[in-house]
Order: sequence, then structure tokens, then C-alpha cells
Amino acid sequence: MKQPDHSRREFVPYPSAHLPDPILEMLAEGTLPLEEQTAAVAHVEACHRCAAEAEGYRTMFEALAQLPHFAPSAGFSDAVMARVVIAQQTSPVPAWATRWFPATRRGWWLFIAALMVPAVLLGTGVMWAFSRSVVPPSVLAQWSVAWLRDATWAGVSRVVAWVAESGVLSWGQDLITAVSDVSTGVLVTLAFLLAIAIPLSAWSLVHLLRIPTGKTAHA
Amino acid sequence: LKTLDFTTVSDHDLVTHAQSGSEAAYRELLGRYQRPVFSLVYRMVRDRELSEDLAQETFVKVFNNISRFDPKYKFSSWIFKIASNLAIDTLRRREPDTVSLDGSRHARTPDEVESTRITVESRDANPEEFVEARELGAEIEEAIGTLRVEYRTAIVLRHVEGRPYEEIAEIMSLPLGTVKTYIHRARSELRESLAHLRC
Repeated sequence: MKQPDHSRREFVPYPSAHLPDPILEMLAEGTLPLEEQTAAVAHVEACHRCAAEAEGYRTMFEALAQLPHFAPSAGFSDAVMARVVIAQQTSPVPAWATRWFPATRRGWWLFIAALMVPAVLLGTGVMWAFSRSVVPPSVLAQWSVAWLRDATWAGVSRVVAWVAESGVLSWGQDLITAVSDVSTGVLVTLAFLLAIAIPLSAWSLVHLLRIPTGKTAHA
Repeated sequence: LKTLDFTTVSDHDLVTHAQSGSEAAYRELLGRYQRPVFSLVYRMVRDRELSEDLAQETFVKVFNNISRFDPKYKFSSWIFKIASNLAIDTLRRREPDTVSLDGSRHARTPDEVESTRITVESRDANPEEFVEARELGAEIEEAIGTLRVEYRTAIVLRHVEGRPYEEIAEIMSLPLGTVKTYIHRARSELRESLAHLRC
């Protein structure tokens, strides 16, 4: 035996009884779902009492919507602004740099799209190279790791050499010698950790400094 | 940014500019919301001076916490929520005044009557229609004034401010079903109060 489906609300048109108030309100407000609206309109066209009720609601809603806005006194704006502490520029990005960033949401979408184009092109090139078996993935991975290691080492060596040659930090000679003895892997790891830790700590500091100590107004 | 025409900027972007320290953005937000906020508060507390204080307090609270604005909310929801909370807290501490567009009933001198008179912003261009609307409006204002404050807030937000049910639920921190019930009851009571006008 087939069980009735209770998951879907069954719509009952209004064949004889008058429309209930919530339906009349929604009809007058224009928020009744289409299916119910068709049935309700058909009922109202045939029922003078419901038509009068719906019209009554519609008149009341129109009258409410026509109620004026009250204006505060002339000095209201200035009185408010006198008590407002204007937020200072708290962005971690300096003001001179912000002019290079988009000012609107649309601008940001264009900016992101412009960044995506080379990324998509590069990704497509890599996919193509893989599909053509010109460069096997393992070779590409080895080459990338080797290049990253050499580049990091070259950079670190150059900085160390510059510091050593400067003569300003002669006390650091022992440290440089010690660093030279450290393996490449350790140096790369240290450089990587520092590259993350420095911006993170700077961001944390800026973030902590910009939050006022008042009560949260959203609550 | 200085040449940006803030009148065409969305509330959300205005808040972003205000967070960056733009006074013009604060003033634009103030211009957009001072009448709706003041009107909502006035219709709730029924006292001009008090409404002005509460509306001012609302803006000061919002603006001084602008850095904490959560963009997942609508700015209008946030400011109306703070305004209605302040008004409800105040109403719990005092007896509400009766409504009058022509000055507070507590005014004892003509000067006091004048100073407490409400200035309305006409939505009609025709002066005769405005006078009729003003008379009808006064009847409706009185009827609104007889409602429970929760019904009053919900009906004003829905029909005067034109806010959707979901936003009203957010502003009043109530379930959507409760808001719909409040609005339905408010409408029924209003129809009863305004029966002599055949609403």
C-alpha cells in the first residue's frame, strides 16, 4: 500500500471557506508563493468578503509605507561627529602603497583576474609538457628542488660574504664559520622558517595594536 | 579616494573607507541613516529629546566600533539592532510617553511645545495630499503607539522601513517564525484600532 508523502506541504485551494488572515496579508503584501497566489486571487475574485479584507490590508500597508521619516535637530550630525573618534589608518600596507591597489570590489576582481591569467597560462604549459612526456614529472621535481637549493645557498652565501666583507660585524666571524659548517638542508629550513615567522609576527603586532579595548557592539 | 563620490558607494564599501579613517565616509553613513534610525527610535520611545539622545548614542557606538564591524552582517541590520536595543533598554526603565507630532504632552510652555514638535519629511510633492496624509499618519502613529514595543518595532521595520523578514529577525535577534507572528498580531491590532478608517 502506498504511503502518503508528508515531506511536501500539500496545497489546498480555498473552494468554499474564506481565506485565513495570514493568506490575505501575504496576498496584500505580494509575498504569497505563486501557486497559492493564483488560487487566492481566484477566490478573492469570487468572494466579496475576502476581497474587502485583502483591500483593507493593502490600504493599511500603503498608509504605513507613506508614514514620514522624522528628522533629528539641525545640529545632530555635528553632535554625533564631535563624539566620534575617527579611526586612523591602521592598514599594515603603507598609504603610498595603497594607491596601487584597487579601491572598489570590481577593481579587485579585475586585479585577481589579471593575476590569474599568467597562472593559468603557466599551469596549462606545465600540463601540456606533462601530457607530451617532454619532461617527466620526476625530472621536473628534481630540477626544481636543485634550483631552489642552489638559489637559496647562493643568496645566503652572498649575504654572508657581504656581511663578512663589510667589516662592521667582525664579531660575527665565528658565527659565519659555524654557519658555513651547517648543512644546506638546515640552512634552507632556517631560511624558510624565518620567511614565515617574520611577516607573521609583524602582522600579529599590527593586528593587536589596531584593536581597541572596548565592548563588542555586535553582541 | 578624496575625489570619490560617496553617494554612489555601497554601505559596505563606506564602512571600509570609514575604517581607513575617512571622515567623509562617516558623514555619508550618518546622512543615510540618521532619519531612519531617529524615526525608528522615536516611534519606539515616543519622546523627541530622548529619541535624539538614543539616536546619537547609536551612531557614536556604531562609529566608535566601526573597526569591529563584521562584514557578514548588513550595516543597516547592525545599526538598527543597536538602535532598537538601546530603545528597548530605555523603555524597560521608564514609562513611554504618548505619541504626538505636535510636541510632548509634558510640555508646559509654548516654547517647550515648539522645541518638542516633530519635523516630518514629506514623501509627497502635493501639499494638500501631505496634509491629508499627515492627518491619516497621525491616526496611524497613535495606533502604532498602542502596540507592545516588540510588535511596534517589527511593524515599523517591516512596513515603514521596508526591511525583509529575515533582516528583522536578525535585528531583533528573534527566530523568523516569531517575527512573522509579531507582525501578524501587530497588523491585526492595527486593523482593529483603525477600523473607523476602514483600513
